[in-house]
Amino acid sequence: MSGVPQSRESGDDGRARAATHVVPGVKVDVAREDSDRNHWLVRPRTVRRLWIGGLVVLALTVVAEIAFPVKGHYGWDDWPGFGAVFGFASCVVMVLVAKGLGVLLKRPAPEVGDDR
Amino acid sequence: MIASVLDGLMPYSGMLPPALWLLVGGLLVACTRGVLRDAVVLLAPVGAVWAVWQVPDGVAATAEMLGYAIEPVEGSATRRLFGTTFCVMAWVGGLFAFRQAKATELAAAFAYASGAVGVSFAGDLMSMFLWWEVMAVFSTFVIWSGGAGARAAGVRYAVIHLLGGVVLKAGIEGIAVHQGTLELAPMRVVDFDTGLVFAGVLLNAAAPPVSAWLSDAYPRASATGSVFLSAFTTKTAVLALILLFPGEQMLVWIGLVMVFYGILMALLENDARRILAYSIVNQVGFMVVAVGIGTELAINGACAHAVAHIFYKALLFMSAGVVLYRTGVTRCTELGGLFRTMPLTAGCAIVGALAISSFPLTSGFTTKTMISAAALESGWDVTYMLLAAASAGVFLHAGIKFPWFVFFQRDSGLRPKDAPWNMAAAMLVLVALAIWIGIAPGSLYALLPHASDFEAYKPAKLVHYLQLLLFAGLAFFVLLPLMKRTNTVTLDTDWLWRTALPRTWTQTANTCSRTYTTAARTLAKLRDTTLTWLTKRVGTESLLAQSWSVSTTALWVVVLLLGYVIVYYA
Repeated sequence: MSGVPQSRESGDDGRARAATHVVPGVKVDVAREDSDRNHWLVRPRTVRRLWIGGLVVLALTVVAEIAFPVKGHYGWDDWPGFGAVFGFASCVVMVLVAKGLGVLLKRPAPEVGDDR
Repeated sequence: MIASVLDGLMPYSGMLPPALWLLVGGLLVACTRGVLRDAVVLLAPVGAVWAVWQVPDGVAATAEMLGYAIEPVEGSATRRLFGTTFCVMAWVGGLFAFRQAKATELAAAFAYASGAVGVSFAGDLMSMFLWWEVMAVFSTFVIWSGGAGARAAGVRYAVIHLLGGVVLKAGIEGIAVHQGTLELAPMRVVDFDTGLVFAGVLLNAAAPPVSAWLSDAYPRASATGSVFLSAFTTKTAVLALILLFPGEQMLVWIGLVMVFYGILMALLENDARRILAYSIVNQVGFMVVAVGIGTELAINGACAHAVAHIFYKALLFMSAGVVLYRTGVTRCTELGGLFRTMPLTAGCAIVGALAISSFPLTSGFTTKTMISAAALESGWDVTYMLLAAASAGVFLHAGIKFPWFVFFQRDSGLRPKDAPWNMAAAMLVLVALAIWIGIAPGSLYALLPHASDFEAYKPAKLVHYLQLLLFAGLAFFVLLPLMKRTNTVTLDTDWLWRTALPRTWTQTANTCSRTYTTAARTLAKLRDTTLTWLTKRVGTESLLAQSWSVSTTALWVVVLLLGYVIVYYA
């Protein structure tokens, strides 16, 4: 399922241990761990529960319009769940436009520093 | 003149103006060490806040400079609000940085903050300009404290800000000459002078196309430096817009461009702090739209949002700063899973992310929604819909994307320690502020310039916003495959003068020199060919230049003489 925080063995980009580019001049001493302790938050059962809980909350926000009707301002936005659809749709549009822009504007990052 | 300026700076009962508390504080930070320096860092801003609240309404100090009467200190509700926020930010930033940052960086940061406070209380355009330049100079030093990677970016930053300062100054001078006054009062963009001032202020506000400096320089500052940087320059520009161009309708469109530019560029970014930098442009865009709308509710919204934004943006930069400080890594492709060992930082980042998304119960909800309400109430319908879409977009690019890719997504294997105590304390202070303004906004509303009866929590509005935001969140997880982080950088408008212009110049120069070389070579060949031909015909090798034998010469002489005699006598 997309959006699931993957454990290291099935990293979503195939390489969980990407080469790390440490910002020059920063002295660090950070621990690393090779084996992923199965943290409770990333266990598949927890993730499934989070998804179910999330979808329930989403449904509730739409259902709540029965108790607190949301008044539309222009007539065409005066139906239940408008905010939900508008929020979802505008995000889809923005992600797609960003993707399109990315085709034009993205360049591979340099090894040292991050100069464009 | 100096005496008169000094006189003007110690007006009301011999008190030091708030900006000087921070400037002198910065100086002391540079000169002291150990406990004394820590004390200065933590006490100077407190004194500055106290000084802010001693400034009365109206002009509080006058002086004479270069033949002009200037008003270095003038008070009003708006100015005191911004001044307080800047001073509090200096204190929180100092708390965050005082154990980890270099003394020079701290000193520069305080001087930078003093510039912001100075602009806040400037009563005339000349004082404003002076403090404006103080901000530009010392923010450059803060950037340079970021180390080797920040050197070039700092130079570019300095160049563009000094250029902006020149534009601003030219406009101010024009106004002084043509209108005969340096009064800092609302104006409209009607001629060249006001246009220049407008442009100069907008550059500091990071309006495209002159916004690339923000995403270029801020992510390269140190972990502590970017916290200070995020707070002052752009919000001072917003205050300048409020004081100089309230209701200037062009600002609505400029602001909308900023809003969406910020979202789209942030969606493409891989570097965590550059995401936040583009997010600044996005949020300042909301404020600029509000100033453009110009009604009392809109100006209230701009002020309130600015205050909330200063705090939650600093909180976000602090969490990113802690990650940088502990891991040295800022690229989203290399981060993830940090919640395991940095739960406090992750939690603070989440609160900051919710605040920036104007999630209910956070400062964003009680402040940014004023701007939407103002747009609706004044008939700016398209703007209202676009701002609603943008609110969803903010949740997408900052509210979820930033904490998700840095602290969750997949396990990067990094197990950094959590934040040091002072950084944690600073973040918690800002978390408290974000939640307090979200739950009990009345105290903030009381400080706004216009009386406000804005009701932040109406049930229908809550339902609408929760739908908007939570379904935007759903969109994030559904579209996650499309939003995979790539190890890339994104080109910005500064590509025009950092790459395109030099490349064009070099190409033109190369073409010219190539043409010149070819032409020179052709000419040389022509010259050689001609010379050879001439040499063969009339030079030392030619027939006519040979030395002939005496008998041949004698024969020719006889032939010539014979011919002459025949011709003459015939």
